[in-house]
Amino acid sequence: MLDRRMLLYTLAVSVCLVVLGSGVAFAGGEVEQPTTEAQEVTLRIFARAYTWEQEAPWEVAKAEIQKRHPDTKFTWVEEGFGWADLRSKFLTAAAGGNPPDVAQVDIIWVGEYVEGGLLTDLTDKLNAWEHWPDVVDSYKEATKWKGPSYGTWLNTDVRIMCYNKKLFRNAGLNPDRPPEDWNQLYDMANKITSAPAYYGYGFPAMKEEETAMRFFAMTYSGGGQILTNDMKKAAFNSDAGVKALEFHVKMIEDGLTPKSVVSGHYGDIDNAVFQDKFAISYMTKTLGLAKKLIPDLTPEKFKQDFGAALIPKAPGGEYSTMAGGYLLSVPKGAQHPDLAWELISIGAAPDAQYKYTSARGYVPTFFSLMKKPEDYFSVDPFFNVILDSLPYAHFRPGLPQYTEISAAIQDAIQAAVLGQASPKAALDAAAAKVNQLLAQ
Amino acid sequence: MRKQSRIILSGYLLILPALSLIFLILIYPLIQAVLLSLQEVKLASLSRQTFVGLKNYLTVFTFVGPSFFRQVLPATFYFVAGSIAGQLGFGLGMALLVNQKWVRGKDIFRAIFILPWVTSAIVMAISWRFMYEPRLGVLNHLLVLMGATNLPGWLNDLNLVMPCLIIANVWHGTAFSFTLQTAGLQSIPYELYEAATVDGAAAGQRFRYVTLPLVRPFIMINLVLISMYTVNFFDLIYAMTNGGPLYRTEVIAVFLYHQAFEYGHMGRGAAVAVLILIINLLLTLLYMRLNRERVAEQKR
Repeated sequence: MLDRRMLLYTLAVSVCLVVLGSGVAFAGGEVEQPTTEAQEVTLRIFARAYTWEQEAPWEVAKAEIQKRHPDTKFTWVEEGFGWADLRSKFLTAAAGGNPPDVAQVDIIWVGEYVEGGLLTDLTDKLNAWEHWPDVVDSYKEATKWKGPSYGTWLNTDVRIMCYNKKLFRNAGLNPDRPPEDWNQLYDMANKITSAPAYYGYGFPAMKEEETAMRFFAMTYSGGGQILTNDMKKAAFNSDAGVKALEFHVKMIEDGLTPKSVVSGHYGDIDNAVFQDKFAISYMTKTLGLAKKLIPDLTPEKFKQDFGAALIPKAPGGEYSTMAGGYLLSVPKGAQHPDLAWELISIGAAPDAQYKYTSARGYVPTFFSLMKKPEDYFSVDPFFNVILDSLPYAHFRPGLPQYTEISAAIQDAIQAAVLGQASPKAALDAAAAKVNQLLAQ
Repeated sequence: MRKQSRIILSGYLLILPALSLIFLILIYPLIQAVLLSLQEVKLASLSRQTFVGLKNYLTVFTFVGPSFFRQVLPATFYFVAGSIAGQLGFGLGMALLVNQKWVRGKDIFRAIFILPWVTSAIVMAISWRFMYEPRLGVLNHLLVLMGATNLPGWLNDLNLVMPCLIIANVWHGTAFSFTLQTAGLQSIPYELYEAATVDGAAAGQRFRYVTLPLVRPFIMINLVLISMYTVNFFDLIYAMTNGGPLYRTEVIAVFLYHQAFEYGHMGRGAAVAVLILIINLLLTLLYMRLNRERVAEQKR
């Protein structure tokens, strides 16, 4: 039998455990007080994993900010993610009351984040920033959601066509005359294809954002668009959208593209161009990808074996491509918002953007950088094609529902490609779902 | 009487620490999940919650792309049934083989068999995805070497994709069943087999009348554990197919992830989590009932 002391002891232990447990359970919700006097600052950055691989933007920004604040001891918490994880990790961290100080934000997430009250309005800071007037106007506009701006560009990208000259030569085609429209693309892909060794044309049809992106580029080329101008209804199931999807389905049905494009990663398709498995694909960078796959590849050798051109247009249509890219933003609830902005203003300034975009083969957003493309030719011999594409670039709608809209369109593309529905029926079904989402 | 009350009270106080922990890490999150499932709440704005009653459940049941009843549940049960059959069957078979007296180097075999279980699911998914890759994968390369021309699409084939996943999961999970069944087999006294042999029992009869009844409790535990584990299984499927193509592998855990974290509908995701819990409970109850009936039958 237990005496009273034993009972009290047990009770005390229980209470301690409950209190301790509650403390652990709710610790995530506490907000750390900003450090002002201790001169020790921890800055957390959420970004794509690959942004940590080169000097710019982060190392450049970290070095400069340390120089500007010599008395401050910075501790950097650097977290790198894949595309989808970057969004879900940021949302989860923000929901837990523990957002990073700086977040890399895909341009299509801006609406969702702002509607959720997760990003800081940087309009005043941007207007006072010396480099803001140098940002291309259309890109300035893209940083806005319902008026205010929520970040500045780290980079943008556009899709261009990359093709394998070796496979062109094997098929007796002139490697300096790539296809300019879908009819030529079909004919050339038909001549090149020697399945299963290699195929004339590769496009992604897996459940990934890039699947929708490349479909959008073709839809715009035929005069279509993703949503109506007021963004209240689906518009991708127009004639232009249906023709774009029919073209893809025909490529599969005629064996010029393998059905395997419905699974795996879209990067596998782009890589396959440099592995002599696909003759043509659309991608955001060329030499940057190829260098990872082909050892000791020089720009000269690359130009000899591969080519790039604008994405072929719909017959009778216009050239078109899709632009994406990332902003650097300061989340609401960041522990050190002023230092975070300072870091961004260094990491996304023209000097750092040049280093970053040229190292990765991405596209700058500053007038001053676009005016000197020769600086980029050494890293991408087809940078002129990228610049030529910019006037034809379209953005996706940055609506909070965009992720679901895109998923519905990806489903439609898969259904059509796998022969489960006609392109028209698949796109109409997706449009019905999208209209429901937009009505909410 | 007073003394007895004090004894009872002290008993409750003694289990209070354990109960508190169970409440904090089990009951409290469960209640929160149920409450969340009754709210309209987005991942991007968790603080803004609106009570919507059972609306999230209705949305899940009437969802299109994928349909819960026509796509998610069938995919889940297909995956669970296939995985359980494979893991249990191969696990028991391998355990029986390694348990044979004439087998040398049993420890080495056991160590080798356990390797897939300790391999990270993501590493495993990438390896299997590479093997199944239609253009560059090992499987189709071997088929080509054997002269095949009409090569399967594996993960791109609407009919093959689920069996492909089940095979990968069986490869991964068989080690667990093997370990559990080995423990069961080792608990059977060898004298029973000797007695059965003396009585003229053939190998099949020894398995049916000696081995099977005695490993039965282990099989039951194994069934319950791998059922729950497989219903909740996520990482391998997410990394191999992400639920595709066309939702053919959108099992309930992947469906939950898409709803809650990809589309940000936390309330709807919580509703799916509650449904997973109900499925797990039903499966466990079913197995327990089956086992009880069988034991009662044996006693009769």
